[in-house]
Amino acid sequence: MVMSQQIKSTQKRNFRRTQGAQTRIEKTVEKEPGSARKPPVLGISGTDESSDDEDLCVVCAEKIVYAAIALCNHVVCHVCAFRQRALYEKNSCLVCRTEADDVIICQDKDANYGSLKEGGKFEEVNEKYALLFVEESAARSTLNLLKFTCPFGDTDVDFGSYKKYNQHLKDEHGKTLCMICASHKRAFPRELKVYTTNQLRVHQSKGDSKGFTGHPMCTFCSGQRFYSEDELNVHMRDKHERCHICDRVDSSKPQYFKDYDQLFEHFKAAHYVCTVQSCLDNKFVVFEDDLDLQAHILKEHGSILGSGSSSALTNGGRRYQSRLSTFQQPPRDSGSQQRSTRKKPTNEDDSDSLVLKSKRMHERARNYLKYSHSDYEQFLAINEGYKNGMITAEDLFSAYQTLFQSAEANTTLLLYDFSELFFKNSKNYKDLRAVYDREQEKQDRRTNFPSLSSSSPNLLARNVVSGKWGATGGSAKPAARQYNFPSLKKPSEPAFPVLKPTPVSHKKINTISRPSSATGTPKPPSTAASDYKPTYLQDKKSTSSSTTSLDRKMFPPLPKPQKPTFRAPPVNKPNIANPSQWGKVHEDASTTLQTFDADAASSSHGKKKGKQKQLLFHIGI
Amino acid sequence: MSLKRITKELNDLGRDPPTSCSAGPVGDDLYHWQASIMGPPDSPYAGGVFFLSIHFPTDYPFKPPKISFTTKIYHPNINANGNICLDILKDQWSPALTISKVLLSICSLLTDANPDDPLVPEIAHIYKTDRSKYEATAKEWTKKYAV
Repeated sequence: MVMSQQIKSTQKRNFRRTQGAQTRIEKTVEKEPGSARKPPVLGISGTDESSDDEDLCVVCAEKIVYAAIALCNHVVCHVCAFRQRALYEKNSCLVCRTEADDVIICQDKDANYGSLKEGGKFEEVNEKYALLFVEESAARSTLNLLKFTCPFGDTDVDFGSYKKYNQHLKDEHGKTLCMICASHKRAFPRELKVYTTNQLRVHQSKGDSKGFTGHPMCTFCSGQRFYSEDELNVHMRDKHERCHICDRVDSSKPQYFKDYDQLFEHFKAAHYVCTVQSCLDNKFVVFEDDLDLQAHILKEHGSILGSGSSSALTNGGRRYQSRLSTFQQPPRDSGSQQRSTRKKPTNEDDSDSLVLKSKRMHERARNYLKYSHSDYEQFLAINEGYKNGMITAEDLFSAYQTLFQSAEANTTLLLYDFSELFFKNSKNYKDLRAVYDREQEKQDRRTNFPSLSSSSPNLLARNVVSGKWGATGGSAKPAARQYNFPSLKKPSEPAFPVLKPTPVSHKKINTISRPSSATGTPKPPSTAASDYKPTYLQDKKSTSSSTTSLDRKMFPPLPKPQKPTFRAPPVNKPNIANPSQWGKVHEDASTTLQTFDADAASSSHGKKKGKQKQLLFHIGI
Repeated sequence: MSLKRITKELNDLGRDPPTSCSAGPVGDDLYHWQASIMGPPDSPYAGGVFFLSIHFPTDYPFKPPKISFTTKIYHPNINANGNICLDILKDQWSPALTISKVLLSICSLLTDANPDDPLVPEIAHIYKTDRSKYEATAKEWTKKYAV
């Protein structure tokens, strides 16, 4: 009991806090709704909370006439509670979603559910909606919400249903309800507007109240309208077809087709359909690109492909083949267009619009300034000053730094955002960028190399730029390595020529690496002073030179590539085996080739016929 | 009913703005708002300013508002169209929730993604298997689209 009271009191406090703004809305928003977006001047939120503010329903923001209290002691107005139970057919608390078996409706907004329940003094109990009414009046005003009574007051009859109610309005008053709203809006009968036929048309097609743009229509179903986009989407999903391939590309703008026949036409025109009969029967066997289709055909229809050979492929893979063939259908272009447009948005994303950039900067600034209005004005004034050339980029940055005091404020980011608002080649842009780059560099240094002395970054930077190591090493670390071990620089130099990948001429190596070794090159014999490197070099040189000379003598370049081609005819076998007569072999081979050609042509040339006979004789042996 | 509630929220937002987000109508239409969220400092989205669009249904607050990101963001629960997978925007919506509370929930979704109920399974997979790769990509996207 005590506990529940505590809960109640804390809840109440929260409740009050969230309610506080009501009167102010009427003051500011009604005058100029747009202005409410900007942060308000802080002074206003003082202590002018009137007692009315506390009586507002947390859900509908209307004044609570009768309070509806659930087991969790959350209070809403009786209209919202009744709407939830009767129209939305849910028994959960509107605030905390706790399931409530029953709800007490009474005038006292501070009443406690437990104590009321214990007292058990209820004037009326509604079994259907599990409502317990403390006062008779509460019961009347709640339950009357469900009544279908004529708003023109000519009769007190409860028509009992929308159909009869609408009929009465038509017959007696020449008016009508929107029956789409009637069945979907979850409004009490008297909340629904009564229209003339013309008004109804406007209501349904364009909308007649703020935030409502009419009941959307299904273009396939002869103008059938739906309560909202949600209901229309459900209808489209259930009754019509959507291209799943296009969805994959861009699902933000779904493309619907009346039925599968139309969808199939789209498939054929824009995608790659498997035209094997079993797949046509299965439906939806369609692919985004030809490779997928080909993979599908190979996997699923491999047997058809194997037995029927090429005919199956041309049949099944027509879409695949037609892409390059003359059978290409013109609608294919629409598909390819879609594919090309798919890429466009990403390009647009890269360059944000100026509006977005400026919005981003202002949003960032406002956040850094904790939405303080005066500071924000100051920020705008500083920017204006820079734009007009009153202050330099440096001044701007220092002004930023004094203005933005909070810890998370990143003034360099703001500087960047601001610079983005100018043309790339303008002076304003360049000046701001210069300051930004400098600050960014400072920041990078601070974050990346916090412990190093101030001179070190320059050193590092110089090394990176000169790129002495980058040329050979190619790794990301060389600069740092060099910085740590500067003494290693020297011994590494002589190693350079050895590592050089392509020694074009050996003279060059010698002159570059060491002039002293140049003298030693012609005569390999012992020079005790020279260390292993020159000898290694010489060795390499001598061997390589000897091999090149050998190459020229022993392996003339001409026959090499031709050898394998002439090996093919078995007739030449014995001739190839003899290495000493390479030149002759070559000639023989050419003649045999000629004979072969002659053979294939089967021309009746006397001379060649004789040779042919000779060859045949060879084979016989 | 919905209009009164929306104007009340708008005024509450102006009076007591949340620390890391803001919201307000785009033009005269009080049913269409734009909101901004600052990337939480302890997330890979730090430094970014993310814009969202908010559409109130006429049945608000009995039906949840439709909220989507207009700034591209790399997140397991937010897809390429900016749609957000967040329970309180769907079946867990409560009419007592406000835009301010929802925006704060989205903020915390940025800090703590929910890869077990993903909207983009590919990102969720990377989030679970290679967290550093996820963070690197999210940072890259933030830099590219939200800074």
